[in-house]
Amino acid sequence: MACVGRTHTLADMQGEGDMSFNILVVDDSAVMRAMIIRVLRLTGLSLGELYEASDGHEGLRVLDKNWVDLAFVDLNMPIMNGEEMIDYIRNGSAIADLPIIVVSTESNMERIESIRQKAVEFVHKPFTPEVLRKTVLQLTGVSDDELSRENSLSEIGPDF
Amino acid sequence: MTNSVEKILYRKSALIFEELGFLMPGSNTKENARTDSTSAIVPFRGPFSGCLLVSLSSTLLPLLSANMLGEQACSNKEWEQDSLREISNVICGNVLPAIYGFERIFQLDVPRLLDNPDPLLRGSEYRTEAHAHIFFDSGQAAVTLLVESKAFASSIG
Repeated sequence: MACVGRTHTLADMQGEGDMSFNILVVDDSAVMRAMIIRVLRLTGLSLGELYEASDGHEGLRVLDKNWVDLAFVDLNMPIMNGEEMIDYIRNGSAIADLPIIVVSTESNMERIESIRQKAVEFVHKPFTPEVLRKTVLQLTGVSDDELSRENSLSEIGPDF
Repeated sequence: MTNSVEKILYRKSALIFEELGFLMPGSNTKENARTDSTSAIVPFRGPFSGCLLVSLSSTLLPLLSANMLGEQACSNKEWEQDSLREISNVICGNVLPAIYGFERIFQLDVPRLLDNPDPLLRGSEYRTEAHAHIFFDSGQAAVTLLVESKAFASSIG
C-alpha cells in the first residue's frame, strides 16, 4: 500500500499543504459516480484529486496506488460489493482507518446499524450538498471553523 | 390501491426527481408518458414480491441524464439508460419503506430496462398497487408500483 503506517487525520491533510480532500467514489453506476462528484463540488469543500472505481476490487487498486482521504462506497456492486470492500480495508489493511461513507438506498435500520458498526457513515440516496458536507466534516473530524480558517490562509498565500 | 398510497408514490417520486435529477414538476400535461418512452423496472422481494416500473418520455430522459451528470448536453444513450436505472432504484428504495413501513425488509434486485411494459401491466402476475404521473416542462414520468396479488394479500392478512 502506498500509505503504509499513516493515519487519516486532519494533520495529514494539513501536512499536504492545504485542506483539500482526495476522494475516491466507488459505484457501479457511472452516472451515480458523476452525481456524487457533482454534489461534492456544490458542498463548498476543497476537493483535491477525485478518483473513481466501478466495484470494490477496482476501488482497492486505486487505494493501493494513491493517497485518498475519504471514500464514498456503494453497497450493491458486481465483482466485490461495498461491504466486502469495507471489510477488507478494516481488517488489518494499511489503510484500516480510512474514513468511508456508504451511499445507498438502504432503509432497513438493522442493516444500516450493522454497516455503521464497521466504522463508516451512511448517506441515504437522494442526498443534498448540505448532508454530504456535514457527513464529510463529521467523519474527518474537521470543523467548519477550521476549514474556513485554512481556506482563508490558502487564499492569502504561503508568504503571509 | 388507496389514495394515500398514490400520494406517497407521487410525492416521493417527485422529490427524488427534484433532488437527484434537478427536475421540478411543471404544468405540461399533454404528453402520454408511455408513448415514445423508455422504461425500467426494479424487481423486489420481501414480505411480498413486486416491481417498480418507471417510464420517462423521450424528451425527459436526455435532460435527466444531463442534469445528473452535470453537463449541458448528453447524447450518450448508455448514460441515459444508466440514469434511468439509477433513479428507478432510488425511487424504489425510498417508496417501499414509505408505503409499507421501515420494519418490512425488502431486497431490491438490479434495475433493468424493459422494452415493452404492456405485458407486465396487463398480465395477471402483478396487480397495480399505485400509479403516479409526474409532469415536467420538458416531458413526463410515469411511476407504477406492481405487486404479486396473492402474496400481497396473504402478507397483509
